[in-house]
Amino acid sequence: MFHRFLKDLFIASGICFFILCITEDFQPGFVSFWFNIRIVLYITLLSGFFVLLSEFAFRKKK
Amino acid sequence: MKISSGAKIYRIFLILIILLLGAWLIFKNLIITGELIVEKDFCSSSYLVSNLYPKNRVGLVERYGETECFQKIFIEPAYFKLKIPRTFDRVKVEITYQNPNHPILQLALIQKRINPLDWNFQLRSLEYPISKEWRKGVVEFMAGSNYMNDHALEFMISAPGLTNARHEIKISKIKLWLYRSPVELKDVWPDIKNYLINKIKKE
Repeated sequence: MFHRFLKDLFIASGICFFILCITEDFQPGFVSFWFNIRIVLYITLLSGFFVLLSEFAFRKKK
Repeated sequence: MKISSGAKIYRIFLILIILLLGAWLIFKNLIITGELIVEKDFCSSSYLVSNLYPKNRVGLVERYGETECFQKIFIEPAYFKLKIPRTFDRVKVEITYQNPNHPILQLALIQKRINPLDWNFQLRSLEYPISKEWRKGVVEFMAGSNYMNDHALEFMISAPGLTNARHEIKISKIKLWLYRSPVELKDVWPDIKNYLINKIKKE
């Protein structure tokens, strides 16, 4: 369950980061005036890292 | 693949967060209330308000006390820019400054430059020009689309004679109130449409 949650979080935050970057590129300031895009990037990277870790742990268990 | 009810709940939650983030960004950029307040204290960098420039006329950011910072102006005029998400009708500026020995201090809002040599502005005098203490001066300008320079309002701090007299002015805080007509509920969709059309046209 937690592994699946991390995977979904990784995908959702990745898509969100991509959309925010496109919006910011289309209209500079639309996002960055109010919100730090790096937060979403950090969530993506962290969740991705934990997905990798848990995949590795699963394989070792098997 | 069978999806558990717990997974369904957090998936809906994740989608909701993304949608809410989008809605919040639209709300912030449309300025639905018709009022935007921006503050700069020089201690932390601001996305919306620049530091004073050009660099050869102003000093670096200095600190006084524990939490206060300021920037000095040696050669006038100096400038600062306010990036704004859309146009406003009026702007009120409050500047916290220390001006111990120079009698004239003015603030101007620069008009849109169509040609590089265009030099038109509204000029206002600050209330207490000479002051050894930190003082607050408030001035108000009319600001329409003809004052937008590259999606920003550009302000000029002028103190004629400052350079020759070798005086200096310290600026510690800039607070700006921007006003436009508020967006009513029935006008939200047309306003979003106009906002997007203006952004595509780069106006």
